[in-house]
Amino acid sequence: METILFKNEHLAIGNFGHLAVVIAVFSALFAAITYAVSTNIKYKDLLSLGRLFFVIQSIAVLAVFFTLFAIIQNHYYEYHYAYKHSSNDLPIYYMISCFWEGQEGSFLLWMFWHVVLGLILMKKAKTWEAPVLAVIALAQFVLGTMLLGIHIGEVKIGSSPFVLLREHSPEALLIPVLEKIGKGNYLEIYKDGNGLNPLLQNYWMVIHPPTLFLGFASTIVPFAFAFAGLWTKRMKDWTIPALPWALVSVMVLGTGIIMGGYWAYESLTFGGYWAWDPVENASLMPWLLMITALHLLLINKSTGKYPVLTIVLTIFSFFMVLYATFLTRSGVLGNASVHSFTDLGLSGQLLLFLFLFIVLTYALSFKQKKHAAIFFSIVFVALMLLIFWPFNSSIVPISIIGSIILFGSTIWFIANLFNRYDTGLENDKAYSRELWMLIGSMVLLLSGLHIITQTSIPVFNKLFNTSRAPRGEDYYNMWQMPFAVLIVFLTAVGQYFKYKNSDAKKFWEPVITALLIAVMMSVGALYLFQLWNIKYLLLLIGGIFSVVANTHYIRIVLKGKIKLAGASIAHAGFGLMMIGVLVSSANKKILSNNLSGQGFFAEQTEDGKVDQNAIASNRENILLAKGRPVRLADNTLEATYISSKDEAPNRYFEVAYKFFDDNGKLKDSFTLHPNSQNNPKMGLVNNPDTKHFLTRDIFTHITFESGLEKVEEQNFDHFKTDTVNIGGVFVTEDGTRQLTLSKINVIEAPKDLKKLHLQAEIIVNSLGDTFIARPEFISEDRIRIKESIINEAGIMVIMDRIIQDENNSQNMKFIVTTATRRPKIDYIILKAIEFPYINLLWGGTLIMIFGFILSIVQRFKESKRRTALE
Amino acid sequence: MEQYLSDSNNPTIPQRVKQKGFKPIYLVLLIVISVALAIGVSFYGDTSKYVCFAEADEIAKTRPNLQLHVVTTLNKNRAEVYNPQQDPNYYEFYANDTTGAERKVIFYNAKPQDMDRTDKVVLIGYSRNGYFEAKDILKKCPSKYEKK
Repeated sequence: METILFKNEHLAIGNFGHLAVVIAVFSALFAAITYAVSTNIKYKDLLSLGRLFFVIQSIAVLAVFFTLFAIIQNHYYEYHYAYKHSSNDLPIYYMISCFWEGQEGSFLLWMFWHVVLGLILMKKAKTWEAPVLAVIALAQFVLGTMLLGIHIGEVKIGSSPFVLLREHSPEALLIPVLEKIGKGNYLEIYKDGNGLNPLLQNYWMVIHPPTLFLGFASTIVPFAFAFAGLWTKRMKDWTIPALPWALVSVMVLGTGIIMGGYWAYESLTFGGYWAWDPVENASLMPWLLMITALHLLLINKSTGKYPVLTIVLTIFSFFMVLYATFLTRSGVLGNASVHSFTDLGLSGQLLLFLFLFIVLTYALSFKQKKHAAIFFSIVFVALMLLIFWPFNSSIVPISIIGSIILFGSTIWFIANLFNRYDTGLENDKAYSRELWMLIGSMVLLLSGLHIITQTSIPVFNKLFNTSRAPRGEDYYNMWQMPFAVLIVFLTAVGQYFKYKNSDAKKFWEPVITALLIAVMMSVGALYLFQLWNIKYLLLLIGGIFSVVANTHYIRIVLKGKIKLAGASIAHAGFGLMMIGVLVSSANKKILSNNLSGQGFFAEQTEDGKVDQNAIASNRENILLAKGRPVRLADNTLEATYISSKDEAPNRYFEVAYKFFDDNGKLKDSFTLHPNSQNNPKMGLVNNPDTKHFLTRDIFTHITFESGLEKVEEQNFDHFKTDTVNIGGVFVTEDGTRQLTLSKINVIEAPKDLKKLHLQAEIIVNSLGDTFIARPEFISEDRIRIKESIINEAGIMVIMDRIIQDENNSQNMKFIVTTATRRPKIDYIILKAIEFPYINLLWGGTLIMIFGFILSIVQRFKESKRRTALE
Repeated sequence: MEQYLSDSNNPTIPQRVKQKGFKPIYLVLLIVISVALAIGVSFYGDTSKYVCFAEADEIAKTRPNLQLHVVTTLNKNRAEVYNPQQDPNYYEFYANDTTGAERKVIFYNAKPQDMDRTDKVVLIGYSRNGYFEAKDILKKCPSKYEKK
């Protein structure tokens, strides 16, 4: 085989990046081992070696991070990652988005945050440093292997971001043009990348993924403290440093999730911020578990109760992050989600990641070595089964065995914990805060459990060979609404309970006051929001109750001390969020409902009746012809498609809106500029445009436009010939267009009469619009005619002959032929949605995040004090 | 009355926390377990399925309102119909399910963006007389890698 010399490749930078990955993987492994060994008091000197390895690992990860960024930034398209995810025309801030569009980049982002968290903990964790950093280093090792991209026999370990385009896709060199210029010069062809998906070209995509990944990454910290607690037998102390970190996790992950929702709302055409898509659910599952764990950590801090539930939930929050990663990265969701997934063949590795941490954690729970030995032999047998199971036979039996083992060992793990904490069920008083916080946590847990089981349907399908399809939004809403109702009520009253026990009268007095105010306000809110539906009433009252009761609490109990009010503010923010969710979705209005379109009755069943199914269907799109106002939404809205403007690669449409009140008086008018991008690489992408008002948003997107029409030129039909004088009026055969011969221009008429060139000006009235047709007639040696076609009116006008009155040369008659076809008009197909009071949702979110930040500051101070006392 | 609800004979409670009086925790536990069971039942309950067109027809006979999922490949050899000037909410095309069976599909909505660049779609909807009515179309974009 000939060797080809490839020109202009920058191989050194990729080799450097790859080397840095290898260094990161091995130093992380060494850091994990040395840190682990140094937890033993005998080898505590190894701690500094663990630190050294972790720092080396950190530097290596940063090197990988910046190397990959440099490759993208410098447009080194010889690298597959740069070619696939970026292109020349992208500004630098979108280069950042390109970085995490691919899986390798997002793993790298995850590792980057682990580095940041690890270095902070190295300084701050004090006596917890060795076991906690050992856990993080182990996670870094496992994540690092995802970037290795090496093959051992048949097995592929990781997927390297530094793979060359020609290695990744050898077919890239097989394109015909390279036969001419030589394969060595292939980079002259691959001068521009595939580009970033236009949907991701949005400023939210620059900051949403890093926030979300910091949220995911941060869950390892509370987990590591719990793990360390089991490991070093400090079964009670671990909650002190873990608590503020759990708050950080909840705050960051929650912010990341909401940012994703805001991005979906602003730039996607789904028409909403949340669609219960598996990918969205996958980020919500760990958050729900983490916030449950947070509440248990709080109870445990104040009362020492529920130690088992506390540690189990903290641990499972982290497992849930690993499971969610498996769900979204392995391709298992396949047909269940609109997000497209590329399976890099890492599913096995992702599962190993999850099971490695499960096995290690479970193993730590054993008090007796004998039991641990039994546990490990079961795990070993399970592993052997998995590896040597004949895969061509049915997978169902092994799935059943595997599930039993997993389920059984989880029960065993929990039983061990009960045993070690020497605790049973607690006895709480009915008026104790811990009981009601526990109840709230259980509601959150059940809500999470519901989402987890439903989102796992594709996994169950794979395991048990079934073909269940995921559920729709309505189903989720039906289940989640009662949970939301319970939660808002609990957030309203929870803090009025005191730990251990509280005086019933002291509890009820402020609560009843707040409830009465809330109910009165709800009456007002019902009018304001026009929310006349009994099933929404409880959530509305609950949301308002939560806001009122928590504000009341800050005022009368905390005496306005904002520093201490983190929890109350977060709870009130959540209540406001729920009101926003309720009002904006219950009263979401499709403005472009199209119940009277010209084609509405075109859908008929075979026996000629109107198709009832069609009437009940979506029908949310309306046609706007350029310049012609259309009345929508019970005559309260007039939408006009004004113009379109091309700004490659986007085409912007100007749509003018006028809102009227019931008396027909103009209320608002504004224009929106939705665009459609006919991206040569990614296909058609529509970007909506939203007009934000304080109390509502008007959301518009273009679902189709005339420029996309692929209809073949229709032939002219319905020919008709008329004989007319100047000023004569006539119609087309079908009578839909009226024509007036206004004048005749003489273009050329020499005296010798050898040539006559005339042009007629004919005014065409078509469906209310006026056009001028200019057919021509030329008589030289022979007669030639030039027809005039007006596409917008769908008409062709021909001047056939001229009849001169022999008696009066001034009196001329013209024989004109017309033919028609469907007019070709400039139009857009528009969908417009009104979201009322959605700002309550965003406002509530900001308040909640602010509350979390206050709590974080407060709890870190407290944790520092308590650790100092230890 | 609530005092009698306490189960002092329950062996799982260690002796030291045994107290007289109503233990609200049992009520909480009971409710949590029952809701968890309900979630389980709901999981195994009536759910949409991935089917082929023939199965969809069978199901539609008895349960016309059950939403079904069909994994299909678009048949690009047969002309699609989308005449927005006539009706912007009528899109018709042909698709083959995994067994290869072909069916007319009607989507009472605008033609989805990207339809021309997709070949695999998951249809979510109902089998009707002679056609499949899609309520939703999930598109799976083919590999983004494309040669120039």
